[in-house]
Amino acid sequence: MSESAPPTYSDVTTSAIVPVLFPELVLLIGQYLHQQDLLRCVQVCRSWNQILIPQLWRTIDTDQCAWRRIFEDTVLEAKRPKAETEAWIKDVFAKYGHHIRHLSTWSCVILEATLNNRCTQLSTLSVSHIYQRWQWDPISPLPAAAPPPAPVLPWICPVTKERDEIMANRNTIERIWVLFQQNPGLVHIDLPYDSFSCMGVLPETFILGTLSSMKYLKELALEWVSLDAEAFLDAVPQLEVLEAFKLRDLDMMQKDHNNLRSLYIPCDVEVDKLFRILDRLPGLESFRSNRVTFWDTGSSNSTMKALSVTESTLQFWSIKRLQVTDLCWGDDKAIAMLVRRLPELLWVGLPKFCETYEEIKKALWESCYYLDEFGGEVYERWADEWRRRRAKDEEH
Amino acid sequence: MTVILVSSDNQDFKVDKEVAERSILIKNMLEDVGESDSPIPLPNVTSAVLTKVIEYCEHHRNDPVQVPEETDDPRKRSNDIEEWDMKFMQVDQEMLFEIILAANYLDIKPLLDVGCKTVANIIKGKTPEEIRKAFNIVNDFTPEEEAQIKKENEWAEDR
Repeated sequence: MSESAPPTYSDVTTSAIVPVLFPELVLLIGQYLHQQDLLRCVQVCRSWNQILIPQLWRTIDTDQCAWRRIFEDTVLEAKRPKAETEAWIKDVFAKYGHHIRHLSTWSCVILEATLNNRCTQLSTLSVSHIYQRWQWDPISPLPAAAPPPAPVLPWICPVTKERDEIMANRNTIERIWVLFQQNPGLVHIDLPYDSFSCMGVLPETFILGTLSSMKYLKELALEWVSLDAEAFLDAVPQLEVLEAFKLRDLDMMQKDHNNLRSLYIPCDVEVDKLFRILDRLPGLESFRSNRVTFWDTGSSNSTMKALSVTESTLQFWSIKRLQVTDLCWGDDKAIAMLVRRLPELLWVGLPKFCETYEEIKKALWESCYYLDEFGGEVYERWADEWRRRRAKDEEH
Repeated sequence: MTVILVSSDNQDFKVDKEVAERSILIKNMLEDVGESDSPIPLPNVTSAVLTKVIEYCEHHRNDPVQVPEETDDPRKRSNDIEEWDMKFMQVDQEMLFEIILAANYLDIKPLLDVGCKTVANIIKGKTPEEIRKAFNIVNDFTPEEEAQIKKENEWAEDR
């Protein structure tokens, strides 16, 4: 149809038989549209609006779309009065908040709006940098009587001058815990450390109790929360993906935890401890950490010898992916020792390191026949070598 | 082995069973009926559309069964359409919608996906007015309502 010409007879007849887009189809098509396009679609007509508003509001990520600009205009540029922006957020969340499934934010105001409007359908919650980035007016304590009821959080830390900095976050933490209780369907929770460094102020039993009520939780990142590893995995036995480095006694667990598929420990881990950890996680497919080290670099040779003897029977057949993000002198030996226990490895990622990796490569070559991909540019040619080797084998 | 499909305008289409079974609807029908030569009536699909659908199924007869995408995050969804499918979808809008409806009815998920992606690509980057024009939709909002929707969802604008 030409854009400027007035409709001709043939245009009219064609348009008359063009089938209307059925609501189901509009819904399906909406799944392939990004929020900017969805925004235009909900302005098209009433029926499209009704169908696509839930899709538009399904994901709220304050790092996406115009959120950042709106906050900058309000907080940094003072182009918009704070009260106005706050009222706007309150209103729109009251109207549309129940559609939200995935919430990712650093804003107390958004958190507050989500909470007050009974968003109970969340399946993803990601909270970060909650108080550092946007100095909004300090958030007020939850009103005791108003819905939702203030949680009775058993603070183990009294508000003293020393703990002021930590406790400044208290009201925010309370909101997050109410959100947990309000959203039993949460599948994925991501709480990086700087929003939660204050978690030490809550008793472990309370944290574990709340987590154990979240039966659908599959993925959890709780960097700074210090918990007993075994008690924690008992509380969330269905957990599949975990990122945590304050778990205590991860290497001292007494029984197997079968459901964990992916583990990220964002710190250094000693190779002998790692063996004990992996031994208790038979379902693990992917492991990632900063460094894999020997506990005592001074006597690394004797440690290695001892380890090769005592742990030589351990093989971790389920592990397909290994990533180490940091590497120091001597770590290559520990990593080589580790990969010798990972016969099913398909992918390995190592940081760029100026020393040669001969030790690691030798171990990989001897133990990991099926390696297919290497993270990092230096390994491109390694992948070729592995492929050539397998191609050669196929010939024979 | 072949099966006979009958379009709404009573035309017979003889196709390989393997091709017809790209349609989950037909596959289930054949499983329920068992060995039988009786033609399968498809009262919701015209011969013109059925010709196109069969062309698609012929081309994709050997594709592995698709694992449904788990993600409901549109950012992770790809709108890429492979070249043959793109050419296949270069039809007028009426036919495009008819193909989507047929794919929906016949339960051919990959074809439905390609159809929806094609329409999504038409919508992309267009203003509400341009979308209305493209799909022949009447604007039933008052200007006030339109302004309100825009204001309420201001956050979804491009940065």
